[in-house]
Amino acid sequence: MRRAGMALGLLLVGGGAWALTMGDRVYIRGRNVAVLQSAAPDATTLVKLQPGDAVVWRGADKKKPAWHKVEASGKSGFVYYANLSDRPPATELVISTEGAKKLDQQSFASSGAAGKGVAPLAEAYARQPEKNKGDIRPTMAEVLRQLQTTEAIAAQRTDAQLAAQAARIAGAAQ
Amino acid sequence: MRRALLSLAFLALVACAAAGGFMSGNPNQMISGVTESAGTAIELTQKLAECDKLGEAEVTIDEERAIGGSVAMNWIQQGGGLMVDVPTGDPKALESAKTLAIGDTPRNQLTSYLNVVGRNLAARSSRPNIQWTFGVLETEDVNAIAAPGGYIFVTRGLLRRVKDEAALAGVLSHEISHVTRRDAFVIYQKTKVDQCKSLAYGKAGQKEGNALLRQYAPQASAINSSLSALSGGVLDWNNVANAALVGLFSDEFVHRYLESGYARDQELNADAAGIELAAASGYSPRGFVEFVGTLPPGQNVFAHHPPPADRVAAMKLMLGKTKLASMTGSPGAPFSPFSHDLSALPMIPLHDELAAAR
Repeated sequence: MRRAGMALGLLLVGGGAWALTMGDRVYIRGRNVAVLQSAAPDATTLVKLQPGDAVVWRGADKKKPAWHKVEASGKSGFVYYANLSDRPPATELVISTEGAKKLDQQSFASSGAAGKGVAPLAEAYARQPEKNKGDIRPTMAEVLRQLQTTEAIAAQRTDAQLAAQAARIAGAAQ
Repeated sequence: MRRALLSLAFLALVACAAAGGFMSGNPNQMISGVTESAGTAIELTQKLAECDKLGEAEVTIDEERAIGGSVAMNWIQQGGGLMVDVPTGDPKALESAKTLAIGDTPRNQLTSYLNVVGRNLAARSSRPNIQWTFGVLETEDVNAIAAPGGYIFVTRGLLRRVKDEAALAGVLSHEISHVTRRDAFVIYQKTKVDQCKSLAYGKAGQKEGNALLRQYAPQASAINSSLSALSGGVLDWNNVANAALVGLFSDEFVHRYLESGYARDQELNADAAGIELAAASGYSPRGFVEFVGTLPPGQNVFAHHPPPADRVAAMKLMLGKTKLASMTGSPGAPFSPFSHDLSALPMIPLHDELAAAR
């Protein structure tokens, strides 16, 4: 793997720099991220993690520095560097019967607030008579149908398709 | 692109300005211009203070999706529609995204491919679980645009120009970053405050007998009712009774965005964050940098972005620092795409669906 020999250095984003020390908490980015028994893509999967799961950082592997040792769910294993972040994912502000509350990404995903399709008020916006007058094409009502179809195409992409895409990119890097 | 129509609130604002020297920017002068009644003036002052608070309140995901969906449909209409084949048959079926039967047509295959590429990127973003939707606008203009809530569009003209998937991933990641960084909220929150104040002036003007404002009273009443609920933190963003307020905010947001776009810093930060996201997903940042470098300057291409040369220079500076850091670093220093030599990441060919569409 070409990337395996990459050297590590200081992170530079927007002119700033930061460094981690052993034992720092870092976060998973990406769905179904595998924690592997060793620093190799075909190693045994110990556990799969989800966006925002916190893990303890134990440093990069000395021979394959693109793989980083972490502790998660009571297990110690390796995660590919691109699946880790120093920042937790954003929270989402939702309104429930209990009032407004911020949910982390996992709670948000399981709350039913995600994946609802075009918002009812956006639908109502598109159906207003004054938005469908005149000779502008497509009309807003037609636009709504196109957006609903596109949302359906998006919603029907499966985790397996996304995993295959990730594997395709990784394969190109071999 | 066509401008948004003048909104009701803007009409009210104009009327108020004519009545009371709004253009001076002095609130006291504006208030005295709208009303001579002490009671109305006090009520108006209180209302204006409430409006300011609207801009400080965090935006909920339901609000973001309602506004974002409306804004997205404006982008679609102005982009000549989406490259997608809408199923015929029961229109109600369109409301069930998970179960809608999608035809296996070339246009739908292209949209499907775009969503696989885009959602794979978004899964590594800081908002992996919002409802990301990627679409292709019919226009031959070269452009890409996002709307709050996870809507990302690229144009047919842009797809004709991208040479590889790394470039496409860079464009999508740039737009994803606008959504994850909530860049639109800067414009949107100010829009809310200003529209709220316009309505407050309009309401005060109506009380004082302004004839022009009185004719908009029925519409303004529904909007003011929604606005009161919003100020009180109890607006139901899923209730269609509040559609007029969503229309008011969305139309003005669209107007303002088309007028000025995002700030230069927001665009450059989206470039940086986009490169990080694309690299974290395994793409070479070179694809995006080269693509931006091919954009002709001074035309209606990424209309409000900084000049391509400035963007390329900023990205190369960042990548140069990264490479230097990766060469001088040592094992044990932090991870992150930027702690690696990104030049080794691949330039992936376009998938069959896009290649065929080109």
